[in-house]
Amino acid sequence: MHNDQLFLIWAPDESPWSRWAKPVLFSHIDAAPPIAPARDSTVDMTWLPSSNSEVALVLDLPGAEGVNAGVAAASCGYRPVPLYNAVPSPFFADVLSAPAVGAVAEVDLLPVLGALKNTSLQLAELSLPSNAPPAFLLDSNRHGSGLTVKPGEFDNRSICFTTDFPSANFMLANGIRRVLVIQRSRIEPLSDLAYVLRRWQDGGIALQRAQVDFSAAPQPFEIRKPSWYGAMFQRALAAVGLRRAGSCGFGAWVATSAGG
Amino acid sequence: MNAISSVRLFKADPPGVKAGNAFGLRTELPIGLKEFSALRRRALLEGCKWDPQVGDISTLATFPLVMNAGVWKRLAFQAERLSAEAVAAENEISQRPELLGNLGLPRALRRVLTSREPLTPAPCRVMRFDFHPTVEGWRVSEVNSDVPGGFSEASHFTALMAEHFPGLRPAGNPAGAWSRAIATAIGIDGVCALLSAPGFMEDHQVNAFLASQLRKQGCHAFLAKPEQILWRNGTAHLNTEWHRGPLNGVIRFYQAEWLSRLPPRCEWKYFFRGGKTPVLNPALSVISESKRFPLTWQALAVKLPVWRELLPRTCDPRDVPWESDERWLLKTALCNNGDTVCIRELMKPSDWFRTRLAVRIFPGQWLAQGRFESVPVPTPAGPRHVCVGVYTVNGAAAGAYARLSEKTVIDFSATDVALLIDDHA
Repeated sequence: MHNDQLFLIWAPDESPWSRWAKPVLFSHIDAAPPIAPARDSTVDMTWLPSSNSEVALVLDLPGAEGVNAGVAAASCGYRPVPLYNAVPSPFFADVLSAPAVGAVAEVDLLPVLGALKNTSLQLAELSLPSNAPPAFLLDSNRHGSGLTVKPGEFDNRSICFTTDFPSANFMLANGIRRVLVIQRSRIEPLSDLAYVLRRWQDGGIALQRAQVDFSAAPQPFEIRKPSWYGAMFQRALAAVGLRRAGSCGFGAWVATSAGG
Repeated sequence: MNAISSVRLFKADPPGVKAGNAFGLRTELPIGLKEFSALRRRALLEGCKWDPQVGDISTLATFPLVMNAGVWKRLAFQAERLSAEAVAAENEISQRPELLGNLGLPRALRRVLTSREPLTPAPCRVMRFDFHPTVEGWRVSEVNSDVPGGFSEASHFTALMAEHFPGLRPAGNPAGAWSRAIATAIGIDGVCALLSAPGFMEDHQVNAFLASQLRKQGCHAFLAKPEQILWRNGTAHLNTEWHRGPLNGVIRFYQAEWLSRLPPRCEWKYFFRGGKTPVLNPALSVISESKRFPLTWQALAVKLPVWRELLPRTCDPRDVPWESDERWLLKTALCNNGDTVCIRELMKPSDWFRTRLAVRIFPGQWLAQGRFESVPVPTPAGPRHVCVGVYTVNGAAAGAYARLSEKTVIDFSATDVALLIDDHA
C-alpha cells in the first residue's frame, strides 16, 4: 500500500477527528524499511472505558508502543488519530535505511513508521463507525533523550501545541466530556501536553490519567496553573522584544515561525 | 460564482466607478468533498503541507480564488517594480550606518551589516509582496524579504486545484522558479543545506518541500540547523552524521535576527559577510524585511514611487498619536506572519496594555502604520479578507500565495486558497 492509502486508513474522510491527523510521517512512509513487529507489540487495552462513555484518549507512549496501543484502543471502539509531528530524516531517499536514520536522528521515528505500516490492515478491518471517539497518539520520546543534542545529529525533536488538537468546544460539541491520558512510567504529563490539557480543563473537559499497563484504575486529576503556564505571556513578551525569541527554536520560548 | 463590487482598482483609476468585480476577484464553487479529500491528501503527502489544521480551522480552502488576467498582470508588474526599488534602496542603506540604525535590527546584526567585509554572495533573491484589496484600491501591507514562505501552497496546492478548473490557470510556480534559479547558481549537481530551527514544524515543511524541488533539479539537498554549518576560509561545510563536506549553497529558512543571536562560535557573520558560499536570501534582505524600512526613505537618493503609492503611511510611533487615534496600527520592526500586528479594537485590554508598555520602552523596535480598510470578498464560506502575496524571483514575478481570513488581520490562522487566473474575463 502507498502512503495515500495508508493515510486514508488512519485518517478516513468519515471521521470528524481525521482533520487533526498529522501527515508528516505518512509523507515518508513509502521509504520506510519493513520493520517486523516487536514480539511484545500487543497491548492490552481491554480495560478502557466503553467507547460510548463520552471519553477521548490521549496515548502519550514511547515510539511504536503508542501506535500499537492505538490499534488496541481501536479494537475497543476508539478512532486512533496519529499526531506524530516530526521529520524522521534529514534526507529523502527511496529507502530510508534503519541503521542510517537511526544513527543520525535524535528521535528515531522508524519504529513508529513501521508500526503505522504494519498495523494499518488490522485497523482497516475494524471498520470503525464514523462517530468513534478519538484516541490521540503522541510519541513520549518527542522531546529527545536529554537537554542537548549531539552536534552532528539530526535534531528532530518536537513539541505539541494546543493548535494540534481540537478545542474543548469542538470536543464538547462532538460528545466528549472527559479525556483519559495514558502514559508509561510517568505520572505528570509532559509540559507541552500539560498545556493542552489545561486548555481543555479550562473549557470544561474533565481529566483522568492511567498507566498503559493498567496498574491502577484511571484517576481524575487537575492541571494546576504551573509556572510555565505563563508561556503565552512569555510569547507575547518575546513578540514585543522583551525576551529573546527563538534563537534556537527548541527549548527557547515558543516563538513565531521564521517565515512570513 | 461570487464577485465583489467595490471601488478603485488602482490609484490611477478614477474614483467612484467600478460597480461589480472592481478588484477582478471572484471565487468558484467548492470542489466535491471526495475530490477535495483526494486533493488534500496529495497536498499533504506530496507537497509537504503538514499543517492543514490549526486548532479547529482547516487551513486549505475547498474553492479557488479567481483573478482576472489583467489584474494579475498589473499586480505582477507592481511587484517587479517594488522588488527593483527595494533592492536599490537596500544597496544605498547598506552604505549608510545611520539609516541601518533606524531599522530596529539587533545590535549584533547591525554591526555585521556595517562592517567592511564583502557581502556573502547569494544564489538568487526571492521576495513576496502582500497585496490587499482596500477601499482605496490595492495596497501592500509588507514585503516578506528575508525568509518568505508559502511555496507549497502557492505552487503544488494551487496546481492541484487548477486541475479541477479547466480554463483557469495558476499565476505561476514560485517553487519551480526558485529551484531553477538556485540550481542554475549552485550547479545542477550542487550540494546545499536548507536550514531551519528545530521544533518549528511550519518551517521544516517549507524546507522539506523546497528540498524536494531542488532534488528534482538534480541538486543534493539536506535539512540541517545553522549550528551544523562550519565555515572554513569563508566556505560553508555541512558537518553532520549524514553529510560532511563543502556546500555549494546554503538556504536559510531562519530569520536574520535569529542568526545574530546564535553564539559567536557558530560564526554566523559568514551568512552575511565574508562568506564565499552563496547564501539565500542575501544579507541585505533584512533591510526591507524590517517594517521600519519606510522610515529611511526620506533620507534616500533612491526614489521609491511604487512603494510610496502602495504602502500605507508608516511612522515612528513617537511621531503619531497611535494611542488615541484608531486609524493607526502597531507592529514590530521584525514582525512575521502578522503575529505582532496590534489593533486596539481587536485586542484584550490587558494585551493592549502590554503593547503600549512595550512601545513606550522600545519605540525603536516598533512602527505605527496607517490602517487600510480591507474590502472583503464574498466566498462560499462567507465574506473573507484577502491577501495576495506576489513572489518575485530575481526580480521577476513568479506566482502568488493567497490567503483568506475572517478577520481583517491575516495571520497564521488564515486559510490558504489557490489563486487561479482567468484569461478570458
